[in-house]
Amino acid sequence: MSQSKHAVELCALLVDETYGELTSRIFTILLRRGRLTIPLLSKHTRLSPNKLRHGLAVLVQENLVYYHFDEDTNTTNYEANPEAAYMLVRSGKIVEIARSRYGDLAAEIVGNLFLSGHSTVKELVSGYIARLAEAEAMRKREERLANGNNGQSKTPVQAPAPHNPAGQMHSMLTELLESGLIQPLTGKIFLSPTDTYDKIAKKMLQDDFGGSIKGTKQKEDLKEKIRERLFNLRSEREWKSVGKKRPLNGNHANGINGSNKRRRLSNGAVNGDHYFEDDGTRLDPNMLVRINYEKCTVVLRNNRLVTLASNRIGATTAQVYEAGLRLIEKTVPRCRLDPRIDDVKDLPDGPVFSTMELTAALSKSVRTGTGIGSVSSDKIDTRKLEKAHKSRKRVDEAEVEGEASSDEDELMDDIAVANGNGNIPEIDPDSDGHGDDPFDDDDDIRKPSKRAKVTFQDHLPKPEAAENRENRMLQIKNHLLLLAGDDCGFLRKCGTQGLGQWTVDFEGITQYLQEEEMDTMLLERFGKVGHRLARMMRKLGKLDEKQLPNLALVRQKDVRTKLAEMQMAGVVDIQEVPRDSGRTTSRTIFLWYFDVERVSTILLDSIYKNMSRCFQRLDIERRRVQDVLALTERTDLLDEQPEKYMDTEQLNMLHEIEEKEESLLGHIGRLDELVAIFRDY
Amino acid sequence: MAGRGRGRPGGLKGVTWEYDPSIKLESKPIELFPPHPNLKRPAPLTDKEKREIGHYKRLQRQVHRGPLYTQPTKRDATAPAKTFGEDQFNRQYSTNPKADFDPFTGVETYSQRLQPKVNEIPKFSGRPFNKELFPKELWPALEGEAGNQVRKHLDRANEKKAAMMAGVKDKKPDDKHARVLEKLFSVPVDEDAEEVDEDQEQDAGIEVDSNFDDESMGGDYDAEQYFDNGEDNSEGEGGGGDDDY
Amino acid sequence: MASSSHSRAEIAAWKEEIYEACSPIAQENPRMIFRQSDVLDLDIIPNDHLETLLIVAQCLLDEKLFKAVHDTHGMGWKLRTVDEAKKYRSLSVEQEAVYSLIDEAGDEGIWSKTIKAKTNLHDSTFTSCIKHLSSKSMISEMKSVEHPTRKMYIKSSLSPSDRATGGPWYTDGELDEEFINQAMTVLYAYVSKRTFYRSKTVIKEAHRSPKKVVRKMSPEHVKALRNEGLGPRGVEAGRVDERTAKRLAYESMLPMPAGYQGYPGVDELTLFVENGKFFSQTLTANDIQTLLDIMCFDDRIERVVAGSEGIAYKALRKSLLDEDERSSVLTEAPCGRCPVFDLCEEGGPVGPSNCEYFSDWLSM
Repeated sequence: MSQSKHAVELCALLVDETYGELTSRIFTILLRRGRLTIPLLSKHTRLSPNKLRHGLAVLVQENLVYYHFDEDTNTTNYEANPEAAYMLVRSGKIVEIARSRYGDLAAEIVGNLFLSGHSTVKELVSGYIARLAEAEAMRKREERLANGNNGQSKTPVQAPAPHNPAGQMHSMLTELLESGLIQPLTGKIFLSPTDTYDKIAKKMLQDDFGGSIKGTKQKEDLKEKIRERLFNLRSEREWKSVGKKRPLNGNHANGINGSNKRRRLSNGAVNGDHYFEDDGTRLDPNMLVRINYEKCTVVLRNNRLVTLASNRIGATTAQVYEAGLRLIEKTVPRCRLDPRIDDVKDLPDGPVFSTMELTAALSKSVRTGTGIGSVSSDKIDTRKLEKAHKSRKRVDEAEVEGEASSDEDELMDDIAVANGNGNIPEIDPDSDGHGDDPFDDDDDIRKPSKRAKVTFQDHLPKPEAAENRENRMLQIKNHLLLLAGDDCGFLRKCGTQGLGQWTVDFEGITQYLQEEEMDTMLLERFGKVGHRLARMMRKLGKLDEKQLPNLALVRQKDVRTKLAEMQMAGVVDIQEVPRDSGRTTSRTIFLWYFDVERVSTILLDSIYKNMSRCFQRLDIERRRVQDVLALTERTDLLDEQPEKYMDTEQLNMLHEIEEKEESLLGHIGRLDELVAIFRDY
Repeated sequence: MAGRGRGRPGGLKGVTWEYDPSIKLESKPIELFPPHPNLKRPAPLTDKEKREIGHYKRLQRQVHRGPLYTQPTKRDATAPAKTFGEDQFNRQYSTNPKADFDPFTGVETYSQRLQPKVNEIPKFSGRPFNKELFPKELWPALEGEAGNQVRKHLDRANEKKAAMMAGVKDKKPDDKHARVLEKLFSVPVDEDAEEVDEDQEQDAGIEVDSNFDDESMGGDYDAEQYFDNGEDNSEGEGGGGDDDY
Repeated sequence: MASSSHSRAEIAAWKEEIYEACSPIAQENPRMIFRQSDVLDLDIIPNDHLETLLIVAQCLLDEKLFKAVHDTHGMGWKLRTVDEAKKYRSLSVEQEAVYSLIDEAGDEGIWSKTIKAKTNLHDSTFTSCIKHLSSKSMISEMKSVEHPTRKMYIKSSLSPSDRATGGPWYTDGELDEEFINQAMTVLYAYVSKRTFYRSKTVIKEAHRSPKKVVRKMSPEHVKALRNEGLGPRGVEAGRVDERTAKRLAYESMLPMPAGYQGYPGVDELTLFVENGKFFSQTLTANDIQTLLDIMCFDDRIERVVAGSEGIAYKALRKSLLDEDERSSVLTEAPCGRCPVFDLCEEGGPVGPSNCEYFSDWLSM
């Protein structure tokens, strides 16, 4: 695989930043030179074989290099894995996914896997137990200290250790395996994809085709067979769901350690309670696990899509969308299919969820009644909507932006949802009145809220659960329709079961994401006119220079200047079509065009460079205050608060560098999001 | 000087050969940093982003303190040089710490005793490795010379490692002495186990420092290393010779 | 042979008669071409005698009342008005050649070079012809927006076509960007108003008690929302400063339900602009369409299939934000639009270590 100079630079920096110089030096040479053996590496890096072996061991451990042992020549080749190196920059995001979904323990596991590359279940469990023991000891000491110092210690007191940490760990790991964020690992993954392919191809050729193939048909045959084999290989490696044990033997499991059911390990966990239970699952202690980057990318993509929905439609709809994406997340193992492995010709319909499933899964705290404007019935055309539900037309229409009274809380959510909908059967007497302009009059605004309040009180004593559920389902459906109706295609309806089935065409929406980012870049760099021209060319194809001023309503001379500027930046290009053999300028048509592929490539490369610069600058900023930072790294001060041992000036310097670190790393994180959009999603 | 460069024969109105302090050189080279078109404050970080950064920094810190990290050996860390080829790329790193020994800062001083240890090469003794996953030729590195010793102390080291990962470390001064003593007694007399011991040393503090440091340096530069360096040097000379022409 | 001689008077009468008969048709359709058969069909020439017809036609041509034309269907004549004919009669051969070309070009006008090429006149002759015609106010110079540098001529009696003037968007041959922007602003305001449901309850609640903004959803949810980074600039509880107020205004704009038919189409917008009397000029539906297309390209509005017109327009939500609120990630840091980005390299004259932009940015 060919890597651009800036991508190489960035990967080298990332490895350097994380694992230090030795590994980075080896990695850089491997990236630049391709696969090498130790003697050759030694030649190119000027490192001793001993050092190389150590460095390579680290790299293999972290899966940053592939290796391939050739039995014939008895040599081992090493090959860089730049994808894995790049993922180092995403470590924070991935840990955050684990934390926000499964709590601190999950974050700790994922973090540890980042540190160790891969780990056995046994190690993770014993590490956890050791840490708990340490924490317990620390807590006791704190107590002792606190007693001695009259409680002056500021260290937060840790919660007492759970009773069955091993069990918890097993459950948590199972949960993570089920979610796909981590995956079991076999030795084979250390073989680079190309090596794997070659190996199988060789074997296939030998076994099934007698050593040689003739003609295109056989060639295709072989290719297809290899693909199938690779596909099966990958499937074999994937985690086989053990099924949720919780509903089955949940009680029993709680019986074992029921006492810690309600115990929180840490105050920061997001509704972490039930994940800390031991559900009795036990994993093979010798199983190796590592982080599944592909799946993590899927999760990141879903997050990004939710943000997009929020920007384009609204917050409530985005929440509904989020829940929908969560439902199908399990069946989306990766963002981009690999044509070598996946059957790209004959794709099955994408993952599907139904309105009913979503209604069941959506958190009760999402107030589906909000987030969509209220409109009188004659303003909506349900022809395009489902015919089957014509009878419920009124409900559809009267979707009310139902702000409930101001003092709701979680308890009342169910009822709050009912407001607005409770009124649906009765036709709003004013509907004709504001049919012409539903925005203008204050009445229109006041009414829903007033109504909402009344409804709220009316229905409080007799919440009709069934009706609520039905209303909620319809409200959710309205959000789904909005999503499906949007230009960038958040959802596509693909069936009618369960009140409508929905799927996501990820490819299309990813393209939309890319175009959107491209547009923002164009707008920023080339202003309104450049943005307009580029979008025109993207939509309409190649355009005659003479047409552009009329289409864009921009002066000819401005158009030319702008296009020239953009051409310099490599964003647009020109094609000359001579109208006759004279080839004079007057007899030539100048066609301008916008090459999306090329622009994404340029953009991606400049993002890499951009990220590299941020890292390099970070390094420089750190070096400038090396003295202060060295202080924090002193072995005796590792876990002390800097306030205790620094003077004001040093503290200021420390805060300053921390702030700088934050802005640079924050920016790197945002750039990474762009990389993801253009490369990974 | 400026006057002569600009002065035109015949002289534009008022231009003389007299020294004119107010005159400004026009032919200024283009600025290295022309005014930036839009330098602006980025959008503030969201809470989520802050958390992500926090996780990232924490992970980095843990790796850096861990045994797999190797510190930079750049000869002049403050002057980054443009590197055009491998030769130049490699030359910025030190190949032999002894040759690059800085008499002013290189000598271990009392005040440095608390600085974190510098890893010349990664240490694998701290954790069990599944050797089957590595190519055979790397096994020696994983086992180290003190492979067996490592295995003996594996459990304890593992425990320590886990503790380190978690970032929760026992550092209370009043407890320290007890721990140091405990460790001193438990340190095996066999010096081959240096790798493990070094780890512990970090905690152990001054008493054993000077002793072990020499040992560790010696350990790294024994026979094999010696040879390699020789090899490197000869190659380096060849390369250097090319450069000289 | 018998018909060889008709009296001059007879010929003149027929000539008169034919012209009279043709002129109403020509008035109705100035492009009308009269063929031989058409003229014979008038039943003016006795016995459809061709020779007679030729003589009469030649007379008309001589008097410049007829103009001979050729097209794919063969030969024919076009009618000139009496006044025009008079003008033509006053011209010399060269002048006529020039004038007729300008005449034919109609409201598109004609480029002086084209005239020269077609007439093959000497430069000085051409100039004198032009001078003569201009002095008689028969032709005048004009400017075409398509070819702003060309010297063009047009009959004085005509005004240049929309194509030549560029339609309503041009004032004195110059693109009136001010006007275009104004028109787009008016359109956008209308479309935007029809796109969003302005929920005043959100704002009201917020003003009554700022905390409610955050609590309009359950706290747990808001937290989750923030966790997912939905609000890039999260609303801080208890503080309604300028930013939050803006944010609030943005958030109070709710989308219309799916299948909403109330989005405006071209016709509605054209009527709105016309009735609103925003501009002195009339903008046709086509003009409005041009503007709407451009606004689509500007990513401010988008087409939807809805409404009575089939195609309607709705505003995009992000267009509600100020430009500085939706800056691109790439340009947030100095590198994005760095003027020396291409040169930047560690160890080069410009590099991350000595980058002044970074210094400024980091201390911002």
